[in-house]
Amino acid sequence: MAIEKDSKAVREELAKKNTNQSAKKLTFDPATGELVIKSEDETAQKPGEVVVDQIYKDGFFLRL
Amino acid sequence: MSWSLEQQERLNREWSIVLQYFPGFELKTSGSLIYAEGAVRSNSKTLYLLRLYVPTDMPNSVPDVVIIYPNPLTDFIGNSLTSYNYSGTMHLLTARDGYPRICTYKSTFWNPNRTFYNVLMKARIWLEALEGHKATGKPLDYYLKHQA
Repeated sequence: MAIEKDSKAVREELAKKNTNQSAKKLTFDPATGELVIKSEDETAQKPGEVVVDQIYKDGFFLRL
Repeated sequence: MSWSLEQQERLNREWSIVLQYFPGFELKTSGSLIYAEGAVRSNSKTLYLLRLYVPTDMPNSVPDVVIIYPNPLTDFIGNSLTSYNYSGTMHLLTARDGYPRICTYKSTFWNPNRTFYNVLMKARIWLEALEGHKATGKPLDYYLKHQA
């Protein structure tokens, strides 16, 4: 599936991204407030939709 | 405190970006404190209320973000997240005003080009990871990267 926004599927994709096992794109749809996973080659975007991969990749403070 | 003209202009720009992606957020004041509050929903449609504190030295510091609803916000076994105090695995800092404070950017990773939008989007992603934690018991750093 090119587009996935089921909450469990999105979380599983976040876990894969955390271990660099996913090249899929994490996007945010401001119209619905949903995080959406898209395949790398998926180019269709809803108006206002934004790729937030870099914000995810920036990482979260902190490691003790 | 008084805001410089540059800070006022920056706040206006920040606010226009926030509203583009997080419509419904409101800018509020309490004494000299300025903060933004608004509702976000996870993909499961669970409602959360976030508060972002505007730093007095904006844009030079990381804005604090807390979750003010649900209160208390709990982990997978029902403990309040504020009881973690400070947790790397849960990406939490010490509570502010009694609310759990999310680790977003390490201060050394912050620069004035980053925006409230960046911080709120991190909080939105953090909430999705929290729901993963509540469903599986796995810590948030199972879902979220650590800053190096």
